[in-house]
Amino acid sequence: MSVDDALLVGRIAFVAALYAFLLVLGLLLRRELRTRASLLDERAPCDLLVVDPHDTAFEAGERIPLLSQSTIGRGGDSDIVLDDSFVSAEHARLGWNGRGWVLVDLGSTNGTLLNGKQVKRATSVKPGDTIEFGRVKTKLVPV
Amino acid sequence: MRIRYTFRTAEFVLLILAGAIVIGGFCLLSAVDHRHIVTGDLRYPALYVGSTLLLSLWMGRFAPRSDQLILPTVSLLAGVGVLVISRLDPSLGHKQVVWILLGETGVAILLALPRSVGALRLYKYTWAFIGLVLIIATIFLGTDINGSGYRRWIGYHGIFFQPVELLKPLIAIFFAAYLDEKHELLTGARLRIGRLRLPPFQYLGPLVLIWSLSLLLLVKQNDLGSALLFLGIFLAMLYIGTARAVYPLTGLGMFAAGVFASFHLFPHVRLRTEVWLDPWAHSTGSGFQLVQGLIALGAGGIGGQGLGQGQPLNVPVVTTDFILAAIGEELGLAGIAALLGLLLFLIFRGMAIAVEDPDGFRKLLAAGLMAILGIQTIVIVGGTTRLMPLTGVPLPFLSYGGSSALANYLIAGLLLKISSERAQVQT
Amino acid sequence: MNANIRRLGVFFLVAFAIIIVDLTYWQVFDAAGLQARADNPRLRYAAIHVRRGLIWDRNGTVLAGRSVDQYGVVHRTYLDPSLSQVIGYSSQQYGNSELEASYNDYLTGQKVGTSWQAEIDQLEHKPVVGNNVTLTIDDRLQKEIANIMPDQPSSAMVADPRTGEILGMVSKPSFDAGQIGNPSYWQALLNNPDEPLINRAVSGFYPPGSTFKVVTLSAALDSGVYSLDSQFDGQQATGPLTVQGHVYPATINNLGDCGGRVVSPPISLEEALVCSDNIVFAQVGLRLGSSRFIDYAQRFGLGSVPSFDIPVAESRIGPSGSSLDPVTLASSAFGQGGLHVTPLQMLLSVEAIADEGRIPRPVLVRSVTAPDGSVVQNEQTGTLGQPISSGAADLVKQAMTQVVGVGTGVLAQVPGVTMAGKTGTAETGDGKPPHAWFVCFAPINHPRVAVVVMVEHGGEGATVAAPLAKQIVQAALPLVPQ
Repeated sequence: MSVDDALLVGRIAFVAALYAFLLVLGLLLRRELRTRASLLDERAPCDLLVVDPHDTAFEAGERIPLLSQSTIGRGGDSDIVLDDSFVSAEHARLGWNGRGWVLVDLGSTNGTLLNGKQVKRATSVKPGDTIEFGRVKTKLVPV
Repeated sequence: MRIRYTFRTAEFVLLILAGAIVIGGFCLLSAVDHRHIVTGDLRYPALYVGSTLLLSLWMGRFAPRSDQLILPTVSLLAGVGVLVISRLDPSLGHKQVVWILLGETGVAILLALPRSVGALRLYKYTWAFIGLVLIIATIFLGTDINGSGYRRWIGYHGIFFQPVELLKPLIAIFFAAYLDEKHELLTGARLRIGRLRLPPFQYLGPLVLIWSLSLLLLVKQNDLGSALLFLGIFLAMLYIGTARAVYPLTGLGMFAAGVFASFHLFPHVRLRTEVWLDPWAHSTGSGFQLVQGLIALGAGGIGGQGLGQGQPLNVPVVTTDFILAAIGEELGLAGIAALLGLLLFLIFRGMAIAVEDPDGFRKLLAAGLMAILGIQTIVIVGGTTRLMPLTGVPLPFLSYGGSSALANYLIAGLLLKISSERAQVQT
Repeated sequence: MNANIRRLGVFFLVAFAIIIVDLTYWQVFDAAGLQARADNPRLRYAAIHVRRGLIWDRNGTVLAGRSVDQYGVVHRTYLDPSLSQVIGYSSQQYGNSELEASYNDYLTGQKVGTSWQAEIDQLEHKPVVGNNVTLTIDDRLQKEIANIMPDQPSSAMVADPRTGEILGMVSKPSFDAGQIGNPSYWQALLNNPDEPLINRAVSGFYPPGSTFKVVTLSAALDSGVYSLDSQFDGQQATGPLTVQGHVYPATINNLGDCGGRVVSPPISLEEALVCSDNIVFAQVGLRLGSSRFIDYAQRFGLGSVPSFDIPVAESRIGPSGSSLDPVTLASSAFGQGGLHVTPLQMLLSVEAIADEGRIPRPVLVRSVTAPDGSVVQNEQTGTLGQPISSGAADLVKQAMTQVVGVGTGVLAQVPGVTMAGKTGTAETGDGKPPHAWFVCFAPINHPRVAVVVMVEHGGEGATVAAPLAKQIVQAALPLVPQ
């Protein structure tokens, strides 16, 4: 290989190296986003604020910490137990999908209301939204 | 007291990679000039690369949790800048390294200061005042070092500084503080004129101020680029801070009126517009630079002629405003796209930091600083490629220029400090 | 606020994308157009660095070479100043001329097939090496012609009538193309009233005189209006002849000195050519008529520019070209009137007689070869046309052989060689001596060389031009293969 050939290879390699650098930046960015998403998974930064506890053991104004996926129901194996006669055994599930909170009604008898509207399919919930499980009224609030 | 130290692995490895690319570029340049890869002077690039690594180690002590992708991106951009400048004029390349070292020192000091970024907002009127004094002082006491007929530099014993560059981050700090403080008022009640809803008059103050400043620059300094830039920064930050499109639109309208008026009042503005519309007709006169720049870009093609193997010195002021022509000729479209990609990555990174920061002032400041880089890039690259009238501003991190290098490193430093504080908040 | 920051981000993304699209336009789609602009300084740089191709004569002698200085700038060197009007010059100040201009694209390597190696060489900024051009010129002959011809405005050409190849071409005064970089030398060339920069052989413009009788005779025989035996008696042969009041005096019948002989009427048309009798040819022209005369003149190539490798002037029948009045027609028939021809035109005319009525395309370039020796362009031989039948050509050849044998062309005789020729003495009407012409080819059975000699204001064709042609034929025949 002559010096001229080497120069040509070096020239192409130099520009290619700039792209390689961009690629590495992109890979690091992706890894960082994944790490952060999983971090948020572990520490869901919202609580469920009890507004109207009705017959449950909670008091108004009490904060219930949320897991990344919390099932809500009357049954003892639910993550959050709401012992009220209008709440089904497996009433609903509230979880973090990596970007936001999602509320799913698990086929409850008396339904789940988000800001007064019936939740039919998986619906995204924002902090400040009111969620009603039967007669129990709660609010999603930041930690 | 136990000293906490974090080795910033990702940043350090990336800096070594960036450094290798820059040193490799210098070896390539040496091979072109001397047919041997280490005959050329590698002291300055080595000094530069070493300084970036030192800065990373320093940050491990004083800003351990700050963002790790910003410094490598900036270092690669500035390193390629030094490389291209050295290829065009080795002595300017050396000077640029010295300016960058000064900028890095500034970043190091900024990050080591115990005060938070938030403290800057306490002195917001001071920053605005310093900026205005600098500009007015330049107009009356400045030096015209390149014979343009306008005083744009302030000099002291042979060292010249362009205050307008430093004004960019200062103005961003002022706006961020102002808009954050007046946030509620600006988004709330407003004046109605027919169907047009305007903010209360007393808060139009800064808008009028910046509008006057832009036109002052335009008329007194013939610095359309900076005028455009300040207006752009202001409008972008106003938009972010108030979420009302009416502000930027009003500002833009006022600026357009100003430009229209100066088009008729000042012949140099009119000439500039004519050159933009038809540079070929002025190819031996006032359009010479633009035409030669385009020819250089064309000579580069997709892959470029290779570092040191093109003839970019045929383009006037190629080391500063027209560095893009040199990059385009020697690194080609591929090289320009990679460098613009790096700039865009930096801007997006800064905006992500802004988005994630809960504090209004820091959010606005980070976004505003990125708006400086973004708009400045658009203005000069667009000017070189005839997307808009040519207005001489430096291409961030790539053009030669001490004031510009210092200002850009200050911007990077502020961004690093904001990211560092955000990380502390999250902990 | 965050939504607005994201929108600003989208704005930047879009703006950068537009910039890339715009850059793509300049750097890809309009790149070639920008590079071709005259104000692109890279063009000049490339022009002075291109390894301009060599120009060889037919035997491989380097006629135009190159040297490369320490800065990689290429300089042109020229071997033979007598070829300066053929090869021309290649100069940074004055551009390119003649072959250096017409073959510039080959010589600078722009007309080469694209190969991978060529692409890579270009990417690596290797100096472009141009293609080499081999001429039909034989420089040995060229130098001899230059020596034979007098140092006064004149020109001579030698061609091979079988192929149309030009073997030698001299135009005097000449110049040294290697010296034109010197401004005072260049200025002297421009100021010289004898115009050395002009190639008289192809761009000189003269009344052909009696050499044109070859064309008139061809027309007379080919059209069947006359035969070689057609008789002219008394005043028909001697004159004076009056045409529409214009008197052609008996002094121009040339019968008193026909190769040293005194000829008396009656004479045949053949003898009229042998003695160059203007009175007879004036009558031949009148009888042929304007349109037929013009037709044949055009068939021989007047009124058009022959295809050639260097610029050629157009030979003209007269000022109007549409129709000739009887006086002009009569004068044109013996080579005066409004006729203005180039020596190349007369060479092509006698080549037609030599080659059975066909005019070969004049050729100056044998081949163009790439630096690796592969052929880029072959010799472009061909026929420009056939003005007369081969039978008529044979008859004209017979008469022209007699011209050299016993007529006005006796001084061109070469011992042991049969030759056909025609003298010409062209009056210029400005009081200066006439132009001396001679055209010929030899040997008559299988002609290998055709020659034209023209000396501006040189005097009699028979005494000035014919002896020069003799020396040229003597020099040329041994160099041209059978």
